Amino acid sequence: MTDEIREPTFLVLAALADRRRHGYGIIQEVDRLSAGGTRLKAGTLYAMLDRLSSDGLIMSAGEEVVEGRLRRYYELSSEGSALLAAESRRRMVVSKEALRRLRIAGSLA
Amino acid sequence: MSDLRQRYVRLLKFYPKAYREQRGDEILATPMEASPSDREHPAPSDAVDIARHGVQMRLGLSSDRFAGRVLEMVAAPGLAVAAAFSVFLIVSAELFPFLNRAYGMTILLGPTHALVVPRPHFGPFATTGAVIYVVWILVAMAAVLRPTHRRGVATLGIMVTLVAMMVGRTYFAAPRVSLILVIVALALPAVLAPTTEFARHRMTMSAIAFGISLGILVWSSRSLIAHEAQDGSRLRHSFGSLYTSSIYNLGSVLYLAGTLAVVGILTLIILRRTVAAGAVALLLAPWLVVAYTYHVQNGRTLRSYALLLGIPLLLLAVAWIVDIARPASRRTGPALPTS
Repeated sequence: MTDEIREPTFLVLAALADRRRHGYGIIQEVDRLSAGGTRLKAGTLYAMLDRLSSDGLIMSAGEEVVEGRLRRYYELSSEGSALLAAESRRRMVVSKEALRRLRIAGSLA
Repeated sequence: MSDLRQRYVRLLKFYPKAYREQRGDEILATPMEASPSDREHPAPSDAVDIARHGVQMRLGLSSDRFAGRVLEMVAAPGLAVAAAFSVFLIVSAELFPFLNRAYGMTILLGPTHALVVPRPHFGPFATTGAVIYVVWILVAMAAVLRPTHRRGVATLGIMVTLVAMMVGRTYFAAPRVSLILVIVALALPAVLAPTTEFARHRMTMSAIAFGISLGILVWSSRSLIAHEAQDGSRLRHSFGSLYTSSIYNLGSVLYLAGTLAVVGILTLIILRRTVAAGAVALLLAPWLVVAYTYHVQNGRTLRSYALLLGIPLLLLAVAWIVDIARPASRRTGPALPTS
């Protein structure tokens, strides 16, 4: 991973922040976190999981078969957790500052 | 096996066999779990998504592979360069004849200059190329403002380009195909790149690419106005259209631009920045078309240009082929680390 973290990547990492999830679980959680703004498809999701795995940000965390379907679970690696924390803090700082300026400008209801 | 499952299994065949054996069941389970129990056919958007990523995987265009990373790096700057070329062409080729006094006279005088100024014009513009150039400028802007829609707007740009070319050829005048191919080739990475996610540093790269391209293009046409004002006859012998003047001088500076690019690519390779080297080579590729047009129209040999611009492309092609020809055991996607 380079110095960038992009929105869908951020959402996938955030979806894995509290516990391991499988493919469909990640799709549901990303949908919820983005308030329906990002709806990942299977092909896109697995391309992204491949990239995050190859960058060492996530890892496989077991698998099980439920109703005849394979579920492989993923969780954050320590690098992934660190990156997510750093990016979350950065976004929070920017958001707080933006809100402060809006308040000063009287544009915030 | 249900009809829906069977159809998804068929879609998975877009993926390489080795990858399918490793991840197929898992990928299959995801849309199956998301689908209502009474659904018989995959949603079209799901089907396209799976097919697209399968093909990308086969071609080595995934984010973890060399070609995929090159395309991701080139996608935004490619659109920026396409926009710069569009700005240059709309001003120098579509508007310039109508702003320039000498050309204004040729338009008024008519028949004797029919070779220089194509007819009929497309409204206030020389050809339907004006529409194409405006569209690509808008596409580049849209890709900056809405990066996640980059693939869609670039595809739309290609479709509008095709329609404008057909309308131009049928009812008006159309721009040179070779130049339009340059723009489309520069935009293709935006369609083919594995992801459309936002990358801050690539915005800077795109702005730099836009500035450098426009600078080279403007520099290449530095003597354009003098040529046009003195004698339009010089322009007729090579391309036989008003696009001649815009491209004539561009061809003449490709040597220098190409040399600089080759030196840059070799430097990047030495520094082990192979993806960046590939990206520069890919941005360079479409200009071969311009160089070819310039040389053929001027009756000169293409050999030197082909060598200069072709070497980086050859290196890029070899790197890509080596990458996708890796043994199947190494092409199953990244190994999944376990906790």
